Amino acid sequence: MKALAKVPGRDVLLALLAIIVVFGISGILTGYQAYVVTVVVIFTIIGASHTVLFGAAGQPSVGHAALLGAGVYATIAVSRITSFGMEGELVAGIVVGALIGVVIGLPSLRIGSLYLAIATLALCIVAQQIYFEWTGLTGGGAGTQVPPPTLFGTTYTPLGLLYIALVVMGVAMLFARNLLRGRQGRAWNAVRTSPLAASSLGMSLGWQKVGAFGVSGAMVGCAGVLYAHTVNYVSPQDFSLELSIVTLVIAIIGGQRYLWGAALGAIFVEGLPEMLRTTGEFRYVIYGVVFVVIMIFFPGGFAGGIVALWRRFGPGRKRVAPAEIELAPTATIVEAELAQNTAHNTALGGETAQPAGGGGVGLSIRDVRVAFGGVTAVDGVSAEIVPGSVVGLVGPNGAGKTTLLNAVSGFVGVAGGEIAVGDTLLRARRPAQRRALGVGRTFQNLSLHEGLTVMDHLMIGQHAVAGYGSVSQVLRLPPFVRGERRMRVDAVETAEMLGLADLLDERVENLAYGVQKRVDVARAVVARPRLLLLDEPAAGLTPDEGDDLVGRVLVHSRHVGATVVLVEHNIELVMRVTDRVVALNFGRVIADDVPDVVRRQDDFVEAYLGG
Amino acid sequence: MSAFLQAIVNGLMTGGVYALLALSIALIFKTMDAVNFATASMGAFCAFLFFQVGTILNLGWVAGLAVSIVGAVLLGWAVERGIVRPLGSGDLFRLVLATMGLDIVLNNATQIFFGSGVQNINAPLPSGGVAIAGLNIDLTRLVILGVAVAGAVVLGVVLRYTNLGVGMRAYAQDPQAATLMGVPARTVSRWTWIISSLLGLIAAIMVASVSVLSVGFLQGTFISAFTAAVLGGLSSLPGAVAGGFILGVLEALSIAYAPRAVTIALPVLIILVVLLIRPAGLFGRLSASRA
Repeated sequence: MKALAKVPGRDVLLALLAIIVVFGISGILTGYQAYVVTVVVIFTIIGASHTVLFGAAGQPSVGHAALLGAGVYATIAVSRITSFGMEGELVAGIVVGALIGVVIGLPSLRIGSLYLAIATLALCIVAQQIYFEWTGLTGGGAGTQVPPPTLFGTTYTPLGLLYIALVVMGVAMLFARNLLRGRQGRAWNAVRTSPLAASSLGMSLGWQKVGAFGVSGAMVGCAGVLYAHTVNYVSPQDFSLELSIVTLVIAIIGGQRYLWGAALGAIFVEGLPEMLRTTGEFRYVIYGVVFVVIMIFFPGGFAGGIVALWRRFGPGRKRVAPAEIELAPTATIVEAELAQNTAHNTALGGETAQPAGGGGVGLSIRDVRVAFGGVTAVDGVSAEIVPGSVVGLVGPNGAGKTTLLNAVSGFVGVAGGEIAVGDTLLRARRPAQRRALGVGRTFQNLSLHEGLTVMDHLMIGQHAVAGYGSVSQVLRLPPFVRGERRMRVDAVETAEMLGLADLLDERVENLAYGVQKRVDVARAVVARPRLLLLDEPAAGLTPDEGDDLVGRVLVHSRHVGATVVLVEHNIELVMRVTDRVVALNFGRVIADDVPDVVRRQDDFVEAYLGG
Repeated sequence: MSAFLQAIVNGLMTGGVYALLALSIALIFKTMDAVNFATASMGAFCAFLFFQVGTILNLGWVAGLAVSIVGAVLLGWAVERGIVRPLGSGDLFRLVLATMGLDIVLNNATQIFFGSGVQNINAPLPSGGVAIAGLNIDLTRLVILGVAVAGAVVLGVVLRYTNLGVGMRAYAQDPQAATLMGVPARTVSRWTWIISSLLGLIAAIMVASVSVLSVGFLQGTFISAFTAAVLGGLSSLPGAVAGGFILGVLEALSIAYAPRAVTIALPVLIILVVLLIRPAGLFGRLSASRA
């Protein structure tokens, strides 16, 4: 994939080539073979819709037969009511599919992915019942005839329908591919791999899924139009739970992470058995067994396997074993910066610094209380954090530091008191909405996006500041091109600042822990948050690594003028780099002053060092 | 009034079978965090064994029952050993998807082995009806209700009082902690699937006794049982039983008083309402990973 990614659009050319080859050989196909190829094309589109919904957004659906039925019956309705041909039917199929997709997706605003999968099962069954009962449109159990395909007044033969199907597939795949590559696809992947981090970066988990359902539904809807004309005669029996499962099986056997995997899956499940004339139940037993075997041994499916082989043996393979990638702490560079910070620190004296970048925003915490059941983790904490300052939040384990950060970023509810970022009271704002106010954070236990590269993380970090929407992205309009270019520049700059520049194409799970920590921090700072919450950035690192990382981040924050709240156990580090220290114990503030004063305060020393 | 009572009685009798199959689903969900989509096809396959040995080979229903029980145990064991264990823990959905694959395999294997005809299972259940206080009570269904209740009680006793049962409950709460405390994870996993498979077999034979035996005959009951399990909270066994009976009664009432469309859509309506209002069901608790 890496080799492909280097030449933009090479994947599109390859896909185009494949479609042209099918065009080329279509002349020698018998009618039956052309029919089989058309079916494969249709199921490729449906499989690709799972690539979007399940492969990227992580939401399995067993309701796709209902969506296919919606496309089919939209086709029949259009052909009966209007004088449009497939041009009108495709519009109707896409709109109806997308609408129903969105409706199925809406519960995800309230419920998790497992329950949503159950809801899709329910939808599949109820939709089939509706199709059975709606005899006027569907013909009920007897089924109904589909008129022959016409496009702009011309009627097409089955072979002509294959050509139309190939074009529709090409457009649908390009649409999905453009969505997946860019802000939207990154957001889906981020939501799948780490919902917590994704929401802190400004992505609404529920709406991302609703969007994926809508896109998936639109794709299946247009496949439904092709399906109706290909099979000629449709009955509600067709749109069963089994069909739903088969479409999911296609995506998974082919490899749900890759669009072209859907084509491999469709060829394997729908194409090969027909071509080989394997009849009856044996075919289903075979692909059932293959499916289970793939689930157990090759969760990446055919495409995942091919990509793995390509990475291993293909040209441009990496010779560096993952374990060898390790950063040497560049302590000396950072020492100098830290010294500069200390000078700054004394000069600041609580006054606002002149920022070189976007500028920081203040944080005021007023009498905040957070309780878990009977335990009060944060008990009436107040603190005023001035814009542009670096404040250390310290205290023993269980003092409520991380809980306070979680309250600020919206992961836990506040039982009392107010939190304001700048002049804005946070109240019930969701984590994703807080990103819009400029709140960014890191995570104590990383929450990285498994399977994605360092570069992906840096781009995901800029989700809220991409500056283009999904329409620009799908059509590759100038805002998209400009936005991506600018984000890449910022990503590389941040990577250089944190010593990650050589590792941009590495997947994060292959990196050493210290490097992963850097990636977590990089993802938080790359979009220049105005209030940066660092949750134990040095934990688990060697003292040199910790100094290095914190030093680099603070240099950057000072540069852009961001406000920083640093939760950290390395008290010496905190005392050296912060303007002010707030110490908590048992959920209460026990000290709040410049480091040198806090250091000498008795109850702080007692709480922290045990007297 | 008597029509109302009759509907309740009918509902309770159907509900017993739902409860039994819902137990099979909930037991797997409780310990594995996964829905077994092959529940129906596993049970159906074994019910076909019962029929094959008892009726086609003419060895009598005792032999049929014995062979089908052995078959259910072996099938549960094989699924655990061949699919569940190799998949390991981790991704919540992989096991669910694998059971979908298993469902496809078993359904079609059933068709290959036993043909696609419609059979009468000939289970030795009494037939006819008795009238008690003006209510018609179908004897077959009464026996089925009795078997279902007995099955639930036996399962409850096993879970509460045997070493294995306590281990299963501990494992369901926290697999890691339970394993560290010496609960043999593999044994628990194996027996969970075997017991679930046995429950499926009993439910399948019961359903076939009042309808017919054919490929996929249990799918409809599976949807109802699944609804019952969702209603009860998926991970709660008492919830599954309660959900089964509640669904049975609601279904009977809707047959008696509501338009046909409501009856058809009832399971789905219940699932959607439960998911939107109280995803944890009547008795379940919402775990963080699923929320």
